Amino acid sequence: MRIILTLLVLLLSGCTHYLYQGDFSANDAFGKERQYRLYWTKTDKFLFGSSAGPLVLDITCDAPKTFEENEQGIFLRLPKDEFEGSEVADPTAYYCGEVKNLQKLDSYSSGPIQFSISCKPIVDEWARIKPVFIAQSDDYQVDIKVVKDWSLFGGALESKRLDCLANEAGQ
Amino acid sequence: MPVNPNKKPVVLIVHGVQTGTDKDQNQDRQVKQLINNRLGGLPLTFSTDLYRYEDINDKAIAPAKQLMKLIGKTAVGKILLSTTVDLVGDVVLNLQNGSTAQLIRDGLRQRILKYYNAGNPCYLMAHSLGSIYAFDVLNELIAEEAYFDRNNRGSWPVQGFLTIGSPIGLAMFRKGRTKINNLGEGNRLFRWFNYWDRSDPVVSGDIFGKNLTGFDIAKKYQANNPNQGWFIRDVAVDTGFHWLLSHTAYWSDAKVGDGLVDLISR
Repeated sequence: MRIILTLLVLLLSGCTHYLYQGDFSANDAFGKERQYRLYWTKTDKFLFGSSAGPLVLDITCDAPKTFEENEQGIFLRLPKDEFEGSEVADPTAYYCGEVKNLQKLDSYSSGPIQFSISCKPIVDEWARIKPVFIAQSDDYQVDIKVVKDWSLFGGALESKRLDCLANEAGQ
Repeated sequence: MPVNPNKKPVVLIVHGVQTGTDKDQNQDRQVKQLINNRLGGLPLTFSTDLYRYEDINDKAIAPAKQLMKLIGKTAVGKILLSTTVDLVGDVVLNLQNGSTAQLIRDGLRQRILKYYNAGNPCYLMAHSLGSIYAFDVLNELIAEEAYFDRNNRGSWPVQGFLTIGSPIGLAMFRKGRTKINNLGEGNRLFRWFNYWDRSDPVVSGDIFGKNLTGFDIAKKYQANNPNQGWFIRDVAVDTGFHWLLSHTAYWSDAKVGDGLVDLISR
């Protein structure tokens, strides 16, 4: 009986892991077409609620960009010394992107993610790789696929980084 | 020597509460693997270094550990008590802010300035209690006139700061740390990314692992003052683990790795 109870507790302590990701093509901030990926993870902990995030924009041959989430929604806020934008978030940053059809990652059920981008990168001597980011647009729409897994002790599922071919970097 | 953006950047890691000795710490190798995993073929070379201070802590709490070994009635009891003292002692030493804590801060400062004097851009990554020491040293350096001319990143001993599982939001650590030092007038921004799992008890202070709600921990330091000069981002990250396991899961989390690549790419 004790063994059964222990096994039951262990099973109930297990987690369901989700990886949500969507790939798409778009122009970068300099007009060159590249591959992009929007992704996030979520974990349902049966006895302990769920957690999700953050939303990440993976960019071929550039550093990924992490969205932030708060009561107002999901948005991309980037530092003013690295990006030029029009919507000032605070003395240090611009609002450079916004998810338009989802307020909380945790509440996503299905369907495409719509988002906007409204900044362009600044290149200076401290940029170790030339930032290419993504072109400004009001209406990106990305179809999302879901991968699901269950485990007792495993961590979040991992989205593989988009690969930069050696001859693409810095162009 | 001013920091040269063309020199190889170094990610200097400050570990948190640990058992064992300095030789047992290998977070620099974990971070190197994590960044390499998330570079995605970017032509970005870097190195990692770990500031080890567990031996300093151990020397300070050795008498208490010996006492616990005497008190423990069984072999298992001795080990458990000794381990508990090892972990709790690390926190107590920090909170007491006595000579041991100062020794740790001095050592970290020396390590940072070693890279600064060599001209290497240095990015500070700190876990758990290590983030408190790193926060203190960083603010001390910012307050000194010799460093952190806002418009000249070559004068910055630290180029960016990333914390994981930091207890900086807890009242016990906020005492004496109610603000960050301003960089002054200018355009350059010092970036601080703070990653935390909602169920991490070290972050929430809830020993039972109840999920921390809310969105701001580090961002509570952000002032609406153009002379502050810090860009601060809080990231609640799903590590896939719960409770204590989440506290040590950041080292291999892809989303943390993406944040690191973003930080060291500029």
